[in-house]
Amino acid sequence: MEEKVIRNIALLCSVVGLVLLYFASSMIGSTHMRIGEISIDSVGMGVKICGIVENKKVSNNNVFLMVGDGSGSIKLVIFGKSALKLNESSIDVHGLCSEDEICSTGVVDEYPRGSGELEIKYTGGNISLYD
Amino acid sequence: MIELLGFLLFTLAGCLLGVFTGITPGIHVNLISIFLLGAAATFNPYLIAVMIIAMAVTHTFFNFFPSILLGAPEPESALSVLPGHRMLLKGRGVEAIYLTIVGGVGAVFLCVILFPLFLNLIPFLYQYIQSAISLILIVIAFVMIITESHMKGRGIALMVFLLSGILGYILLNSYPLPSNFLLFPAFTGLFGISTLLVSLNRKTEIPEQYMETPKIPGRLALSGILKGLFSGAMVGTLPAIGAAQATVLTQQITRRGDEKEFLVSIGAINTIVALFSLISLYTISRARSGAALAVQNVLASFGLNELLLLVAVALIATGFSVIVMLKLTKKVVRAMQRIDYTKLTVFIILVLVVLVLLFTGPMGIFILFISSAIGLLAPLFGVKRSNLMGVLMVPLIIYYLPI
Repeated sequence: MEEKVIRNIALLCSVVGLVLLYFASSMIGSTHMRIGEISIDSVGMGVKICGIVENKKVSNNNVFLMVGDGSGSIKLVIFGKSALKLNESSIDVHGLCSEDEICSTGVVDEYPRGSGELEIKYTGGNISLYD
Repeated sequence: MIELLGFLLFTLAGCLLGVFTGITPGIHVNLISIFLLGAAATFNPYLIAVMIIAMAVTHTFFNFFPSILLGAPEPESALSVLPGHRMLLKGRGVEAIYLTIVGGVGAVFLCVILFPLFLNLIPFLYQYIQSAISLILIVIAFVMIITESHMKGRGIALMVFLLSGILGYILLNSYPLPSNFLLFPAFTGLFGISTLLVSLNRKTEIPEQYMETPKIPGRLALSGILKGLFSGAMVGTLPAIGAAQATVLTQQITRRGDEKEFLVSIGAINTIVALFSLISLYTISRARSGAALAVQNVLASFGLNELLLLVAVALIATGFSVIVMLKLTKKVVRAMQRIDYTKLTVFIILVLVVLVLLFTGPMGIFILFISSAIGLLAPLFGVKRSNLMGVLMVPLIIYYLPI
């Protein structure tokens, strides 16, 4: 195997990687879902929800929002560190009030495990006021 | 489009980090991954995962620079020190590094072709072999010792294996150091300082190096890559088997004295382990490497889309690493020739001691001293240095014994 062959294989790897990255990056992300469509089968899925803040609880800087969209309600959990980052960058999540309309991405989780109770854990990206 | 650009930028950043961790003795991917996990709250977790995998794959190529040229290895490349260094001292340092590049890129290429097979094979192997880990490790250790050339050598090999094993058992059970650096002083002593001290004692000088990259026979390359792929599959499947143990396994199935094939294999193993750990994460939900564990922590779920994304990143990182290494190797080796090797060896020993002191304190220095003494036994008594892998194998054999 000559250096030229190895270099060509490396180039092929890069090109195949770039093509694969193009397709994979379009498949990665959150699926926009109605809250009523979220079920136990959705656990582990990245989703995007939009709805109205029905109530808010703050504990140790962690923010727990109950969000409803007419089809159902679900708890959106934003952990303290993420909440502080959001406060600095885009939206004051500690200042959200009932009736505020928001969109958020996160991952569906069952908590506690085996309870059948679902929640969405905020994992990154923006939370925006509904427009 | 913006998402794609973000992925590309973070892949490039990961590659640059991998170059840094690869060429710096003592700085491991796992350490940087811990810092990157902290950034997951700020950035999109997928970007962090992409960065970690690009770094891990690039690291597997570049960490042959310190292990072959300086004799300062990390656990995954520890056994490459001897054949790689030996080739350097024969004027074939460029060839030694080139062989590891061939192994790495060849293994990635084959792994992608055989991807569908591995997706089905790993769950099958995991189900049937995991109960026999202890036995597999005992067989590997037995073969390592029995293949010494004479009876006295076998006795000494057993002693070296057990001494390093006792050291590993104490370290892994009493946790005298922070967990990220638990084995750093031991590996630096067993494989790094001891090799450098032997070089120093022999007043080694780096001869003039052949600067041409040789034509590697296809059969040798394929054989080395397939052995690396087999060992990589073991690592990806079985708990407790890491790149270091896979290398020991490969060394036993490589023709004695064929250091070229061994270097191809070891280059293949390191990179293949990074890829297989992703396949394992997808197929059996088990993280088999520090980078895969970090990805598991940062991503809430790991499905086929995530696997394809990270395999794409691994391919790009492979291309980047090979092209940059092909450009750099000759320049680096040429620079090595102009340096007084004795002074360089003393300097590297001092750097390693300072790094150990910095990361692990006086206790680390104490462990470094003991492990260097054990590490010297193998070359001084003329037995294989791979027997020092007892440091990992003995604790794992004990841990997985069904008693």
